[in-house]
Amino acid sequence: MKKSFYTIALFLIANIALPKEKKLVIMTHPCWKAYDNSMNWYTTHGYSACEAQEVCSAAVIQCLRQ
Amino acid sequence: MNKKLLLLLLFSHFCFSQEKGNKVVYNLVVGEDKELDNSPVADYFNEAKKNAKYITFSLDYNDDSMLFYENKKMNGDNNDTTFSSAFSGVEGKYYKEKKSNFVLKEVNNKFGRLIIKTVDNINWTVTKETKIIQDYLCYKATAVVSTKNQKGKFKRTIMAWFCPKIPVSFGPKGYGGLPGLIMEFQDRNIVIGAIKIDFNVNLKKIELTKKGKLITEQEYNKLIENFAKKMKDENK
Repeated sequence: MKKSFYTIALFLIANIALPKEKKLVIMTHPCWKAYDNSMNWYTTHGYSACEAQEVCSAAVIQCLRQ
Repeated sequence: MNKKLLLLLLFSHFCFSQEKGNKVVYNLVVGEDKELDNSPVADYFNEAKKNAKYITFSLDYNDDSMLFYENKKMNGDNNDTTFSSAFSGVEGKYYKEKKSNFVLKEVNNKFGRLIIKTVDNINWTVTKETKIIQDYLCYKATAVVSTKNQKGKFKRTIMAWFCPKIPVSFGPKGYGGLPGLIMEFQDRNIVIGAIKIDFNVNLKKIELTKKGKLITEQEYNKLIENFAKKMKDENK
């Protein structure tokens, strides 16, 4: 479980570093839209970024698995 | 000869990496929240509520310091507690020394291995309200805490039930500053409550690994906000 979490996280971080034209499809995957929506909801409801990020990150991982 | 020496070294390592202390085990309750029910994470929230019963936390403490962390799951336990863990608000390990006014939280995530320093400046209001938790008389205390994010500053009330009979000012997630151990802690819809206390038991040494980069809570929030902004820009 944790292993796959880190694998996906590492993959995503590596992808951030790529120039835009070389970015992998996954960065524009709807799951990242979900991340953005969730973060937005949390900040609107008074949660700090670090309170929100655990849930939002877990949500992306779950979404990417489906 | 060599074997004896090796055994002696292993034995001494085992002895020195352990110490006597006290252990409190807490469970987790993810309570109802109508706003979360209607949020983009509603499905995950339902999963978190369902599987919260499979999560426990430990607070190891001695006269000088404490360490709070989520317990590893037992072998063969296949329940997916990812979301219960995420919604619990407990992230990594929390370390606090009795005399210090800050909590150190050790995390290892996509931002690297970090030690996040949070200043403990909570002003508790102790009430006369009592309840019994694990046969101990506990008093209720409340405090108003605030969070600041890109949308503004928000206030909320947190609650702790502490036990004066156990005169240490420690508690879940490093919360403390009360004249007794926090037996139950509530922040929003999350309740972390003591289910077992063992005194004078062998514990792993109460410490952090000290390998992470030390940053403040504000800097950590900024890291996450920048990451979130990047994600948003990428998906425009």
